[in-house]
Amino acid sequence: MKQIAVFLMAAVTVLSAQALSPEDIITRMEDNQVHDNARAEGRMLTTDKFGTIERTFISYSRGSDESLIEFTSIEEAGQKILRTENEIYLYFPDAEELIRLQGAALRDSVMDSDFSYEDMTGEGGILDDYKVFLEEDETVDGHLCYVIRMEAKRRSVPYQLQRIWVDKELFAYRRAHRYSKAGTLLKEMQITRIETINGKHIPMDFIMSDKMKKDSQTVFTLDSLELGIRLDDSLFSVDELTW
Amino acid sequence: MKRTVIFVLLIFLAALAAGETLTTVTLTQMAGIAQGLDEEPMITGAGTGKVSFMSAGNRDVKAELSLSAVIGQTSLIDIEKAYIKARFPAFRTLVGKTRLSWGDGFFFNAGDVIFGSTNPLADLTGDEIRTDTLWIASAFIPLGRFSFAETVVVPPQIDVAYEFIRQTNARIEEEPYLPPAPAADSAWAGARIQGKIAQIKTEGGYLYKGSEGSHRPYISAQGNLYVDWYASASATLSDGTSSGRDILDSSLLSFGLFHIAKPSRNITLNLRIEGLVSPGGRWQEGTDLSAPGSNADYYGVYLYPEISAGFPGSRNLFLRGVYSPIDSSGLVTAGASWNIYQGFSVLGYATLQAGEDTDQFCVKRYSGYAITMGIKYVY
Repeated sequence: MKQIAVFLMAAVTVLSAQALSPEDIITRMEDNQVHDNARAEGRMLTTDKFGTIERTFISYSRGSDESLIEFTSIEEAGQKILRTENEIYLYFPDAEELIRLQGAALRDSVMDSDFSYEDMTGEGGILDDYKVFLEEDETVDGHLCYVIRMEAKRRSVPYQLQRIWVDKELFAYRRAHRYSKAGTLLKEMQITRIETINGKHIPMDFIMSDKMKKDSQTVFTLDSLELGIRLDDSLFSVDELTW
Repeated sequence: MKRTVIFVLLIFLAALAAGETLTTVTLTQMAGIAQGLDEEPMITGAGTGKVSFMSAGNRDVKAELSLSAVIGQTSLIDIEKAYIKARFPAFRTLVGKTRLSWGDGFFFNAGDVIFGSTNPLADLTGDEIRTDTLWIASAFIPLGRFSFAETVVVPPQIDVAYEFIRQTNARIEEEPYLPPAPAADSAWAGARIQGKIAQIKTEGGYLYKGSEGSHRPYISAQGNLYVDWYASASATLSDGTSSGRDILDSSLLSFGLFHIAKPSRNITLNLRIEGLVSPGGRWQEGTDLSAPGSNADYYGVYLYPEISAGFPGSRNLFLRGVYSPIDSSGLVTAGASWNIYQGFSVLGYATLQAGEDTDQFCVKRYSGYAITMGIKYVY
């Protein structure tokens, strides 16, 4: 009897999982990975044939649209990136200069890493920006994943085509490929460590490879992450950026 | 007295070192060859060192002390920055020596009424070209997430060594032979307000320069229309300004376009062009501009083109220059940098002025050409 019950529960679980639409999967993934308020400390390691350059940072985020990153490594200390809505602001403390990035400038790489300013500072809600389609399941590093193709609804989004691999058990990214409109692979992101914090499954280590560069990759590591903390409204403002 | 000053400075540095302080050291060693006096080539070689102590740990108070030195056979030490700023619920305040960036523009910025980023004769080799600092007192009042007002007072800049000599002489002699310290009414004061109107960053401000008795209003805007664009305009009004023509002659207009392109798999190109128009400047060639003294000694229009390319492995090349279309002379600087290890870079620059003897730029002039190479380490 017990075996039958377990079988039925498993069947229901599988059936309900199979019944998920690509929109449902994205929603569950965003519920898992987008936080009301978060504070993180981490490192960005860029490696080429001469070695590795490490840059450390503290980041604050609210939802999927607002984030503030402050670099703390010696060479970049005090440099900040603020993203809100469709804009990115940069602050350079040496020159006390505030620069507003728009348009193509958003695709420039952050400190010669494999991340663009848009990659560093997140993106808006996926379903607002992309039409999503479910493809055949695949396995990534031993984890069964949904494969979702994302086609941009408008030209202004950073990548016109993306393919993401979402862990079927954890509803977290395992891999992402980002393409140009013509279908050329531009960037590949591989998640190498996922941690469970406050019941959410969060990618903590990932590797970004800019396929437009030869022999280059950037490892992004979160050393600490606090979720659900109180963040002041003024944190995502020009006042805080230039402070 | 001198020993006392050094002692106090050392105690201050020791206190900074003992507290929660972030210390950054930048050493640069350059050597090369350049046009010297009498058109003879000269060997150039100097190191620069910069030590910055930045406070850490208090979210509402920040301070920085940055000392820089040019080290040749003799050394010259300067305080680049020395400021304290504090944040309160409705505003924040800053007192000390630092820079404020008013207006928009990388090389030409008519809105920079405090520091005056309009001189076409500049060293183009640095990452940041306009880096002057002044002793200031400022208040920053947030008006919204992307809007604020800022006030500034720039007191008369006192030369401490000069003032020390003056006061010493005053004690020795009844009437010191040096002139008195700057008067209080030679201070500068002003304010600006910045916000967004229809996705265009808009800024307006005003500065009164007591030392010149002049009023300097300005406006500035920045937006994006396929490429990033920005423009600033300012005017200088003084007691002698009486007509619209005077206002036009004193005005400055700067503008710029900026775009990032990716022409191939491994190259990122930054393209920038800026211009400066000064209706009161000279619009005809013929005057000897080999040693300009006032604004009227500069031409009415200059252009600043720049192209820089970033390659994988933190390698960068740039070509930038200043072109004077009225006398068809110019200055061009090519530069290369390679960030090989963490904080360690190799640098190289070549500068050439092109023009005739009486032009704004001329290769026969001091530093008419220069080639320098060196290394930089930040730790």
